[in-house]
Amino acid sequence: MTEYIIIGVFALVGILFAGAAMVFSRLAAPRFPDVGKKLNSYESGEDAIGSARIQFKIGYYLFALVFLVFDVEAVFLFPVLGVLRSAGSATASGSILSPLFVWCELLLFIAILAFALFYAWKKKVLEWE
Amino acid sequence: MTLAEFTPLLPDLLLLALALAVLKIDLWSEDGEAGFHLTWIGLAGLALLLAFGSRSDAVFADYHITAASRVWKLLFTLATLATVFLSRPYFRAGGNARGTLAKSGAFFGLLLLCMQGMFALVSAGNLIVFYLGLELATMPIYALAAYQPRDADSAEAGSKYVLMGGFSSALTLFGISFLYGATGSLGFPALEAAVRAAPADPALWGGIFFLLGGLGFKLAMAPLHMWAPDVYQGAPTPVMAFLSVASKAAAVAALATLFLSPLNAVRPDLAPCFAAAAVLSMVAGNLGAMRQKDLRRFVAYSSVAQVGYMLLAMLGEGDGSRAALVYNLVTYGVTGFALYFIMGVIGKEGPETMSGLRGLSRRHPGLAVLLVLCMFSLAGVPPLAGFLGKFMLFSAAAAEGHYLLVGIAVANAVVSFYYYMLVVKEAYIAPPGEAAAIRLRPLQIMVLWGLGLALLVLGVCPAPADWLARAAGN
Repeated sequence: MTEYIIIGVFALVGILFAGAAMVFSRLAAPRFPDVGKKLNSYESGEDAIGSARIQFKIGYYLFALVFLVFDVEAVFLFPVLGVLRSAGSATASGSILSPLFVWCELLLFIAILAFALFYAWKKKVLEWE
Repeated sequence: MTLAEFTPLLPDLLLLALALAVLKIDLWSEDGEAGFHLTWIGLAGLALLLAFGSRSDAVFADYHITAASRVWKLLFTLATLATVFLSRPYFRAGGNARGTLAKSGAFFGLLLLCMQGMFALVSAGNLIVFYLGLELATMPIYALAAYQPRDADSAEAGSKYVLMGGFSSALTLFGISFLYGATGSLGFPALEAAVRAAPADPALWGGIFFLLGGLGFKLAMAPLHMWAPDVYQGAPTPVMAFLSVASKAAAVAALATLFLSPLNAVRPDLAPCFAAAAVLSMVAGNLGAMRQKDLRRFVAYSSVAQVGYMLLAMLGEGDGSRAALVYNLVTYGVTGFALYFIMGVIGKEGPETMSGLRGLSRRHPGLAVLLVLCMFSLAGVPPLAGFLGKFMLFSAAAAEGHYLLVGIAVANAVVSFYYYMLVVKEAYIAPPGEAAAIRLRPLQIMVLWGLGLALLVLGVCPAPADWLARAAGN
């Protein structure tokens, strides 16, 4: 039960902390909303041009999808290495996987991920139009 | 560990190789013919391997090959094979009135990857593998639902399914995090022990709540079924077929994998929850189906009602339930695909709607007879496959004393008879418009004969049911 109390206290302190900061700044800060560009939407310090609801070029999405290949590769490579290291030392049945076998398995894993990039390349996703 | 020990894993590895090979061939072949032939031959081989191949069970850390998982995999393979055959005319110019589908190589590749996810789902021995399988089994369908080129409905279906699917995946993952918090383990054996030791833990119930919510979306179980009619209607018919049979089977398998083994200890306490969802799904599905004019929307509501019947099996004891679920999914798959092939045939010239069926009894009497068999089977009329499937589900629930629920289910089956007969009425009684005879392709004739015979055999002959019960039971 004490664990839950700790979580509750954390939540309470979190709400109080954030709430108090907001209330305090509301009370203490001077407010001149109609001066200058204060009510403009924030766009990295630049003047906002036009509406936010525009159509983006489809190429951006394709690049984002291809980026996922590398993303997934990076995310999965660490756990895979960890698993394979332990698999190389001992298995549940007591036998040991040969290092060559483990190495081939790792190559297969990377090859499958790399195939996605190859597929995208051959489908001309990497060419910006 | 030697290579021979990997024999039970062969189907899963072959499927992966097949999926990659189909995508690879897609890079070279222009018309997609090679991809189609490779896909169906590979899937047929895989089905034979699963049915007659290695029978030994194996545990690879968190990937468990069991007899029950082999039965599920066989079911997924056959459903995907039927989908591949069904999609054949949709990629041909003039094969469908709604427009020709393009990029068949990627289509088959996505189907196979989706199947790989389903394989992982039923072999999972760990919640993370389970979740990865569930995601892989859903993500390709987002793209497949939007496969109809330049079609607003299809784009809507795709985006709706992405949003709903993403939401339900997040719910599932959230539930898994609760389960991990409550039991301190992700592996199924440890999870089972922890759940049995402390079945009343509030964090565990939080996890179960979110998990049921997430899987309920995937299953299109009422009241989480609202996405189904729009997605089924917008998606191309082969994708709708895959959604309503293979994807539904995967969601049922997910439910069975979790609640019939690691969470089995809390299942009796969940009975009111399953019962409520079952009744809601039956009522919502049956009432919704009555007024539909579009056949794909009609299928969506009717499949919501079928989910209601299937949820009854979650009330029974473990082995009987699993066998009843698998058998019902087989009969539903056979019946469903027979209907979808008929939809594919009428879709060549007109829209796949109720009125498109008009005059079918004159245009092709054999097809009309098959349509009647389908509708009778979906309604659960003996001696067709659907009757035995429903009977097994109802008896699984009745064996545990849920007589009121079974009564409600039977009443719902009677109500459903009304709208299934509306379809038959369109084919036989409604005045036909133009009466051009229908010509079937050899592939269509072969598959329709096969499905029609299966409809009769599965309803009359108990041997397949016995085989499934024995195979899925342990």
